[in-house]
Amino acid sequence: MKKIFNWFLFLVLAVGFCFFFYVLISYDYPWQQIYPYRWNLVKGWGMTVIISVFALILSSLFGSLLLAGQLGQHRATRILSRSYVEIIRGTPLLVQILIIFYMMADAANLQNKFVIGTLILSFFSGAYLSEIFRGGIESIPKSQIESARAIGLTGTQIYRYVIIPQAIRRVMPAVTGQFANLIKDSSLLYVIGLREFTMQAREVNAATYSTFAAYIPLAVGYLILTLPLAILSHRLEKRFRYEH
Amino acid sequence: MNIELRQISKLYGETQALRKLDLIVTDSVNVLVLIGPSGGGKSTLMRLLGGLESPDSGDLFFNKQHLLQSETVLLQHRRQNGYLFQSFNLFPHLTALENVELPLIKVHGKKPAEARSLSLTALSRFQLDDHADKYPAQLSGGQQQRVAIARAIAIKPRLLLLDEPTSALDPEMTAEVLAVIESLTQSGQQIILSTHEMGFARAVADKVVFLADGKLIEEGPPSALFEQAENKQVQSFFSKVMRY
Ligand SMILES: Nc1ncnc2c1ncn2[C@@H]1O[C@H](COP(=O)(O)OP(=O)(O)O)[C@@H](O)[C@H]1O
Ligand SMILES: [Mg+2]
Repeated sequence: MKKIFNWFLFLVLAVGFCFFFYVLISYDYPWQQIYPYRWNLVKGWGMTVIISVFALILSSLFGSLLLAGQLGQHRATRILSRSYVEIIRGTPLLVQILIIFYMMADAANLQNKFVIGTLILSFFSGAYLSEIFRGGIESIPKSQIESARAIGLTGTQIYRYVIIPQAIRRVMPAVTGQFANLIKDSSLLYVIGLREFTMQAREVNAATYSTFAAYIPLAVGYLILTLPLAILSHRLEKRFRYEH
Repeated sequence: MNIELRQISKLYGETQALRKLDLIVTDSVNVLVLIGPSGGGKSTLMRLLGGLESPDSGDLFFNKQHLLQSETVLLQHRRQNGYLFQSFNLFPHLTALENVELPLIKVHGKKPAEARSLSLTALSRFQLDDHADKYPAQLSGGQQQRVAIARAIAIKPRLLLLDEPTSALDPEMTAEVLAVIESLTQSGQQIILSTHEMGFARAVADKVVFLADGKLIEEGPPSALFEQAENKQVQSFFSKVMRY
């Protein structure tokens, strides 16, 4: 029964894929129109990569700070970090981009769109990363802390030599996944006029009077970045499973 | 070892794990064994004696030093002892060798080279030379416990606390770990052991303490306790566990 279902599933998926590619090919895709603009797309792609890398670094720092706030001793910082995380996770990124760009950046007299874009993404992704980190730390069994205390490590040493190294191994798959999300989420930054990949694709479409010619390369460009990350994430997950 | 407990009580929520326990152990005792039914308070008493926790009330002296003055005193106490739990003693992200080295370097201030040679000596003493570079997940339960004993011994502890060190092991591995413990008692190591291995307890103990319901029911040299226990509860415990 299960075998039959699997075959059926495979068939449906295979037919779906074939149909999709058939449409792509049979449709007279206007490659010649967008070809002259290829370097715009490459530039946009590069911009997306750079923003994502910067935002990953910044959001890791930011996420660690939020984690420290949540695990810390002070009630006020705990509540503050917790509220921040919930507010960010409870609102759409697009809304955050609009609010931060049009209200806060204006008030702070921040002009550089690259800087603002990176900051917005970092604020957003930092909240998710802090949750991933927290999950990692809380997943370390109590027996590890007991053992660490028994050999005479101090509280700080326990974090440094026992909890954090193990937590990092455990969160790596999720962090890799979050990086892929970050890359995809950066596409929303076109709304503030940042010339990243999606924005460039939209401009190419406008210049060629085409509704979507540049969107297939756009999707492929994102896949080139996210697929390796997805594979890496799976690998890390498997490796972690075998280590335990 | 020299221990004096006065009116020690310990509560876990609603559960009274120890009830006004008095215990005196004199210098002539090298190996102290705790026995009694599960839930009787053996582990709780071990944790207090090992400086892992503080009682809710009462006084605790080890070698005439009042242990319950501050967390600093307790930490100092922990650093001079070795402690072994039933299982999950080792840090899974470190190899056997690194597990042994960690307290030597981070707690006892040994240089890496010296820590390495001390660790290899300790591992070799328990026939673990071939396993030095393996991770805990690659070792059997018995090997894991032996590595944990090597880690505890490498710091030359004045006292070794072993809380049911073989309860999670199959008979063959149990024998292998008991042999190691026996060799330690013969070399004059001071040990506090809680166990359900009655034959072994009798063979190695200088003094046996029977705990049940958080109270000290009976104490004495093994010959007296095992052959002519006065207390009904102790007698019925022996007749139950010795039946097969
Ligand atoms: N961390 C804890 N939280 C709650 N109850 C506990 C805890 N540790 C021990 N107890 C309770 O205290 C009593 C004594 O337990 P324990 O010292 O582990 O006994 P033993 O080691 O002799 O089996 C038991 O009733 C146990 O359920
Ligand atoms: Mg116990």
